[in-house]
Amino acid sequence: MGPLHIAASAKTPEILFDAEAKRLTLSGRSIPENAVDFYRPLLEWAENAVAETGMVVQIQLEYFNTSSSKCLLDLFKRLEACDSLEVQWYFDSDDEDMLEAGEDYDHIVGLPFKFVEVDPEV
Amino acid sequence: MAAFTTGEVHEFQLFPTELVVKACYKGVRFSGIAVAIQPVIVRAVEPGFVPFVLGADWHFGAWVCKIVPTNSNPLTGFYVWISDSCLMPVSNVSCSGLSPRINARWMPLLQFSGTPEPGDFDRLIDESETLMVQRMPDRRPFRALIECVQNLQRHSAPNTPVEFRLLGRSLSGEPRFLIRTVNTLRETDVFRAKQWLKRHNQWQEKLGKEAADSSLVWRDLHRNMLESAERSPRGGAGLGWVSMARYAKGVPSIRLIEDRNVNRLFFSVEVAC
Repeated sequence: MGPLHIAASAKTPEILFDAEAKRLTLSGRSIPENAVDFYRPLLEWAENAVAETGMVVQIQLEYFNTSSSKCLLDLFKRLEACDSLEVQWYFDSDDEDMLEAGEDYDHIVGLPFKFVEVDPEV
Repeated sequence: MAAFTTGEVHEFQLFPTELVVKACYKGVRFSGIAVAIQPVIVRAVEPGFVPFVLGADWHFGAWVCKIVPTNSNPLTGFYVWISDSCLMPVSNVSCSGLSPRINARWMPLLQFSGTPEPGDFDRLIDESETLMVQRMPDRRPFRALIECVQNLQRHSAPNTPVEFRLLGRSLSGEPRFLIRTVNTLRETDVFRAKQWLKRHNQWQEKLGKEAADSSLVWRDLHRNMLESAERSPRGGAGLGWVSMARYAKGVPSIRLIEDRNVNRLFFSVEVAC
């Protein structure tokens, strides 16, 4: 898989695939009005990622709207075919909603989730 | 109280600070003046007209007037919907257009009324975030607000006015927010909105009957919808509605308001968080 980089904006997250580390990271906030358009390149990229093994997907989102939540689900569904993929779901220790959101995906999709608690003060 | 029974409005004039209405309902003529949407004062009554107290509220480019006759006339509670009035600038929309109960407790933080231009919704989100986060580190109210604003953006009929209000108060030292939005429904959304409102009312009943933990009910519903719902054309799959409820304190108040004169439907959402 080649590298992938979509720069962050005020309403959209940074998306970065480090091919060497086999790590896909989404970070920032994801509140675009039309998330489908924004996530299309990532979802197309994910179609070709199924051959990748040992990949790590890090979700480090501060906010995401419902439109984005469905796109994230689409992403996870497409990555279900990957071998040995782990989702690392980051959440602030005072942000129960973000933890619950990760748990919901963990319940819905057949991927292993690891929850990483972050101290917001640090 | 009858909802928006429409009487015959003979005449109305809109000034920067007052609204004059002369109306007729079942042969009885009424007139009155509302001043600056403030607590209503009847300032002038013409001979031949029954005086009334005019309660006026500003909604998405039109006035909603509540006529309460000062005598014991059985028409108490009759509403007049005055459509086709001109748009007022945002600065003329005041919090006192809200009901006295809300008005007495909530402080307006941000409001918008009119036909939005490109970028207005983003600006509402940005400014709301500043106002909310500086009062409360909890992200829930802002998450509810994002859904409310994007619901406005997604479902308003093109080139129609919308109304947005963000209000705040302190309750036992804890910040609270009230988000209120009104939009004209797209014709293609009317059926879906009615269906959704029906379901929303069923969920409310379920919450009431089972005395269930509402946060768990909304969370289960959200998860089920996320798992099974077909994606809507813009990607939300109706999840925004449930998110609003999930992040709110109490069940959001959602209403469809019908303007029978011009066969339009308005969608009103009020979320406390």
